[in-house]
Amino acid sequence: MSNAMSSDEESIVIRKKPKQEITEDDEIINTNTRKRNLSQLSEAEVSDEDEDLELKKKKIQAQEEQERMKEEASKKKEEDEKNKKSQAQSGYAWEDKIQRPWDIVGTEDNEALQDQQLLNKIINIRDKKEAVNTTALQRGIIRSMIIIIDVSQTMGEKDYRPNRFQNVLNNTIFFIEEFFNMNPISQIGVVSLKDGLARVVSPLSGSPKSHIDALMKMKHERIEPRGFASLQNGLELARGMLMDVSAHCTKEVVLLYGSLSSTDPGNIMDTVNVLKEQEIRVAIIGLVAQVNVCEKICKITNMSDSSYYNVAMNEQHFAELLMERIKPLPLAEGSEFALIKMGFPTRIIDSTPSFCSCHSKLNRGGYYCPACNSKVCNLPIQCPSCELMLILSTHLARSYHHLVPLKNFHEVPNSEIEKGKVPKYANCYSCKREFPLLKGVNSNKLLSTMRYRCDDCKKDFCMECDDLIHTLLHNCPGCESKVNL
Amino acid sequence: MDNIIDNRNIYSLNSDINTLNNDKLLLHDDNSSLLILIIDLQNFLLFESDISKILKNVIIFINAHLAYSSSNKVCCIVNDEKEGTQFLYPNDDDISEQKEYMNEDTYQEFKKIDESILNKLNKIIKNNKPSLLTRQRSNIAGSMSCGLTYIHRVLKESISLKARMLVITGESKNSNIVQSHQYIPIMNCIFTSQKLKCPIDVLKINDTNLGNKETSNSFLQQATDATNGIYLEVNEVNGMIQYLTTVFYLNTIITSTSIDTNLKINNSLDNLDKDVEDTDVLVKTHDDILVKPSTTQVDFRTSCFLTGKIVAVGFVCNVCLVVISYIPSSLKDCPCCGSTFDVKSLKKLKYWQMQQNSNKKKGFIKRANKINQSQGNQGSPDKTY
Amino acid sequence: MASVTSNQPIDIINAGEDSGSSNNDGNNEMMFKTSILQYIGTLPSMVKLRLYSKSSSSLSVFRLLPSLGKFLVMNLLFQGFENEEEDDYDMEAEITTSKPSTGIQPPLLKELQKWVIGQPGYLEFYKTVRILEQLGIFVITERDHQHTKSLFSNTADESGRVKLNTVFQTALREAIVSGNVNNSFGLLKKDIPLEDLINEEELDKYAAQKWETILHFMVGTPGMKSPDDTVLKLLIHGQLMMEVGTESNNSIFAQKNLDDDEDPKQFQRIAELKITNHGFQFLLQEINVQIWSLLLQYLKMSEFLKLDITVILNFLFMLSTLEFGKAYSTKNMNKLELFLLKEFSNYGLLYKKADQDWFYPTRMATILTSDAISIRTSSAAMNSVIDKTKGSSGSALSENKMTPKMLQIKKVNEANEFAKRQLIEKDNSANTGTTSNMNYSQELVNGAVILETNFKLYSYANSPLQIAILSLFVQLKSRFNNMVLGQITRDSIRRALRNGITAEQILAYLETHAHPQMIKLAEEQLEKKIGIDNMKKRQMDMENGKGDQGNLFKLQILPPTVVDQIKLWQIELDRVISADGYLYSDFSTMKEYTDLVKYCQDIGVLVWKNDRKKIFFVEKEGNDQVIEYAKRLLSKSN
Repeated sequence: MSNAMSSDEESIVIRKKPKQEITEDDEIINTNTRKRNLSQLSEAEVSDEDEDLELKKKKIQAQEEQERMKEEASKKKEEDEKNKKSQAQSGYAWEDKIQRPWDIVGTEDNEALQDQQLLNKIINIRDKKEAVNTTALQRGIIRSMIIIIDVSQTMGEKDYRPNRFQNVLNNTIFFIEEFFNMNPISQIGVVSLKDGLARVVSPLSGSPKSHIDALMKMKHERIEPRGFASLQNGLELARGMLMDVSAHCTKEVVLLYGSLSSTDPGNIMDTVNVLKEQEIRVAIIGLVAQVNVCEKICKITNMSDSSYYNVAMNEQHFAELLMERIKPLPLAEGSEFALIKMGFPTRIIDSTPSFCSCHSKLNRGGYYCPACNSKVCNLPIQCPSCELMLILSTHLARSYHHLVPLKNFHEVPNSEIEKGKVPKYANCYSCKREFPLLKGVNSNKLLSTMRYRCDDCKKDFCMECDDLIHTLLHNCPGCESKVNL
Repeated sequence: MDNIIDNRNIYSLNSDINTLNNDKLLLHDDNSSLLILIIDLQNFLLFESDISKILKNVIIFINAHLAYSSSNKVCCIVNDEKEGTQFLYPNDDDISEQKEYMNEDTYQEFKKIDESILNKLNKIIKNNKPSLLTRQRSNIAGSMSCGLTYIHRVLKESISLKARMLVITGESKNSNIVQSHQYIPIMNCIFTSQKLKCPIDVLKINDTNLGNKETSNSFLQQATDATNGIYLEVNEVNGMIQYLTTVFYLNTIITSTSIDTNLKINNSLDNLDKDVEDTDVLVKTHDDILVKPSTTQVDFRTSCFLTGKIVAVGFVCNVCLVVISYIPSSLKDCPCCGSTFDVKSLKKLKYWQMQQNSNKKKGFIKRANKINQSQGNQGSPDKTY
Repeated sequence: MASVTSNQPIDIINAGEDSGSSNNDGNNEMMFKTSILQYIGTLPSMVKLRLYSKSSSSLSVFRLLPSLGKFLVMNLLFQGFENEEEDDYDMEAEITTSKPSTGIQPPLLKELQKWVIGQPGYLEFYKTVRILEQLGIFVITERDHQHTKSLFSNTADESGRVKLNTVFQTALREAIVSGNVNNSFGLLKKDIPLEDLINEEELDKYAAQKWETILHFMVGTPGMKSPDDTVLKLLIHGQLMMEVGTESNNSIFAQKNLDDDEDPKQFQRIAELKITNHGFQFLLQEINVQIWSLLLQYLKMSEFLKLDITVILNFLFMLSTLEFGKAYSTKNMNKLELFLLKEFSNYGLLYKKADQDWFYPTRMATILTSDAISIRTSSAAMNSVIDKTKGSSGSALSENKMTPKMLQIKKVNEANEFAKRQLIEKDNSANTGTTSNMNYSQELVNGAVILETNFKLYSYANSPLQIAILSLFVQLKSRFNNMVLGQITRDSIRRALRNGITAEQILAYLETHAHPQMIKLAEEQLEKKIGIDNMKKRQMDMENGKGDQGNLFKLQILPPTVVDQIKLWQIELDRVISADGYLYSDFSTMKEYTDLVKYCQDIGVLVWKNDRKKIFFVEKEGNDQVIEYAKRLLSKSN
């Protein structure tokens, strides 16, 4: 029991760990501990929503179920349990016992356990997703973001493959591409921290190509990480770059930080306070361990919300954390709203080629600025002659789902099928796949209905469609098929 | 090994070697192509006289798609005004209850699918009497969403498969069908099909009796443009089969050729174009060598939130991205999301707007504005094929 | 045209060898397609017409066409269709007022050419047109005769109007509009007694067994039954196997008669058959290529025997359009067709009992005109059937024989597998950030090969045939319950090369049999490469929605080290070049040597030299000249 207790305590200590970590534990032994864990968490959680609570309830149910299943299983499992106990979540990855794949492989007598693991895994994956808030928030869609990359000597470490710096570069390149896919009317700038100095890698602009080229150049020139990193210099430079960004944009800094210290010319807290005044919001992803000053910076610039400081556990986690930054930030209280004048040009293909006004290239196709009638070849762009922001309406549409997220589907309770009722739908509504029945191998008990229902149209969807609908499509096929207004 | 020699002048068209001998450099299909056919019955049920004819052509088209290669697949979806989206094929109806509509000795591969489609379709049409009174929302986006999830599912199940989508829509006399809310869902569908690399083709059948010029479906047109598809409007149902087997067959062959076989085609023998004499052109798909009919002008304008007018220059709220075409003098906060605008910037815009208006009065209308207005009135942009 | 009827027996196999990068898996498929089309192209036009008059044959030929050809044919297929159409299956039998038929001119070739763009498009277009013309599908009228005379101009003949062959057009159109097809898609037999019904699994088993017998016989697996006599004749005729005995080839054909009763004398001689180089190459092909190359041989042999080719071709194409698992009646068949039924059942293309008047096509028949993908999967299915029958596990039980309990467990297992698969996919997509569309087929493809960079090869092969084929070029080390482990060595490859198998064939075999996991890995790597490459381009065509175009990366399934090494081993065999000639040595001074070498170089007869040892080698032809010069030199110095 002492083990369980310690994990209990730790859950208080490690508050800023990402939420998903908590949900990841497959093997919880004592449901009571778990409950306490959760209740403490939910108390501590400031912005806890009802949905989250429901989720947790379900989770607890699942665990109780698991408990029962375990009791039913033979005594031989006790040995296993001892193993599991030591494996039980204890906060840091390195404190866990090494998880060997062959431990998970079940033999016949603990198949019940296997079922449970499977079920838990499914629940966890859904939890991760459902934890995403679906309430419509006001978000700053037009963003200006400075990415600061640490290129100090600590980035040469090889704990991330091939090394920290290369890994960060690769991820950043991918990030920039995705970022512009999702936020086509935003801008990015890139800054590097090296030798105690901060340098502009590529200035603030809305074209992914220029940034990617700059980063690719860094990659191919095999720049060696060197010297110390200076948080203050980096942030000051970023602040300078964001200085003349107009008020209707959100100003963000994303810092990818591998060092555990900072070599600053002055008091960093002064810089931080200026940042706060100018409403520049800083998010930091650490690569190694938690650093107090980073947490402080994030907390101060994000209205004392510390969830913008994260420490990556491994490569994959780092990529995930970085990708989280793609989503626009919710707007702060009292931030400025404005109308922006924009042009929606029509695409025209001319019979004779002509020069475009943006790159002076000879081409046939193009878009004519509705205000001054000059031709540009690519959108979005600021019209070179009349400075009107030209975009495609599709660009605007790309951001819509941030504003009006699709409601989560909820798993159909087991009871609906268990009672011997014939379910209303045998197939997934949208892809016509037959719903699988997930049953315990020996117990033949229904583990999960594997169907997810939209609350509005009451249609059932399979797991894959649910995933596609919420990550990519953002339409509920059932609701969109409704005829009545 | 005659072949070695043959291959050196692969494309010497005049040489005496047998063409069949070395046509391994021709593109062959390695992929199977999935056709998602969406029939917008909601708009169709009204011109009844043509419906059976249209559907007959559709069946022929499905057969033509299946005839292309035995690994080609079909999925057929309709949206009507009662049940919303319904799958014609595959459907979960009982096969034993099916009536036979076709000759018994039809090619089995066609027959299975066609019969299933016809059976279900008949059921739907029988149950469905068009109601002109109630206001309805168009639900084509729902069908498209279903089609996309189906593609997603099939893509996961098999390697080397490509999907394409053909939306056959009509034009409805029923002005009660509300289109405007479709904008976001259709846009979402567009992005998804871009991710799934699935071109969307649209065939719109105009009812000539209506004689209405304001017809082009701008949302679907944008969908074809963004996904590299084909948008076509047809006035005559009689000629429909020609369009289906020519223009819309293009994507069948494009999705059927694989992208992995990089074929190098050596141009060296042809003096048609001296400049490219020694370059090797890499042709991977038919996408590279086939001409797709393209719309020269695509309307990317959106509609104004307040007036519903189509606008070329508008004001966008930075929070909810709503587009409005003019700023009422009383405007203080966003008409859509309610966020209060910054007074200073608002004043600036209002001032600009005032200037524009006074310019107009004085007659200094910019040429650009003129052009845009005339386009706005026309509604349907010209197309050349 | 005439050059096609070559005497070369297996030109299908040779066709792909020389294309340099022939480890495209598309190649094999193209091969069989071209070869059968090529064959049809050589037939006299009357035969072609009779062939195309059947809807099933037209449809099959259509499917075999190159893709642009299919498009062009489809373009013309419904020309003027609206005018003559009748409503024959319409739901509401809406009779349309058909317009009076106007004599529509067939389109100009140049008009059709507008579909393609650019130089490659132009070339591909005219190449396709040429093929269609040869096949007699396109009828080109109003040709500009001026052009055909000037044979040596470099452009294609662009003149003329194109029309589809009317026989072909009506037959194919009827097939597609499901009109009157005269039972060319077979006559379904419905009233079959229950005890005679055969399920798909048994059919697969039957087909696999028949086909494997042939292959086993070729590999020479001991203790296997030898296939039917007619099959053996074909193998010899196709030069896949060779007679070691003394009797002449002709004797076989002399004995050919329509009813083949077992001839004990023949049987003995057959035992002395030996596999040829072609045979080795044949073994490494994919199953559909194998079938087609045999069938082509069969056609050529039938021609020799003065059988009606059209009937055979029609029969084959009909067979390929039948539905697998259904029984078809033999009622309307003529004598030759009945004979063919018997013949092709020897190859496992169909299943028929002698006393029954119906037959079942097997999966092998129905895949005759389909694409490589479906074939790969169905052959995999076939393999798995073989596996099931051979494996000791009870999985061979068909579902209806299972007890409810077993069924339940099976279903539950399947559901769980499904869920697990989804989880794996989720994890994966999280890992790479992309959704890969690999399918995690839980049932391993039988014979799936994993090749490591250290030349070790693991194959999940159970059937002795696959192991035998592998042993052609792999040194097998150990065999387990469901897999064999082997090592690719220099010796094993050299052995294969000496047998006439080329490095390309080995690589193609390994590639097509690669384990899904290997393919997945390769795809991921490729995606990474393309991803980085594309990012630069992405901005340019972001608006156009064009994704991956113009990247030059290729999917590398096999480890490149092994690929290169195998190719090197092949080149190694060509290491020694023999040349007849003379060696000059024992020069007294360096000057003497260099003078003579220089002269040899000038007249281009020097093959090899070694300055340090002062020796060089001269071609036979130039030797006299060199001696002459040497004499002059000597006399001069003297």
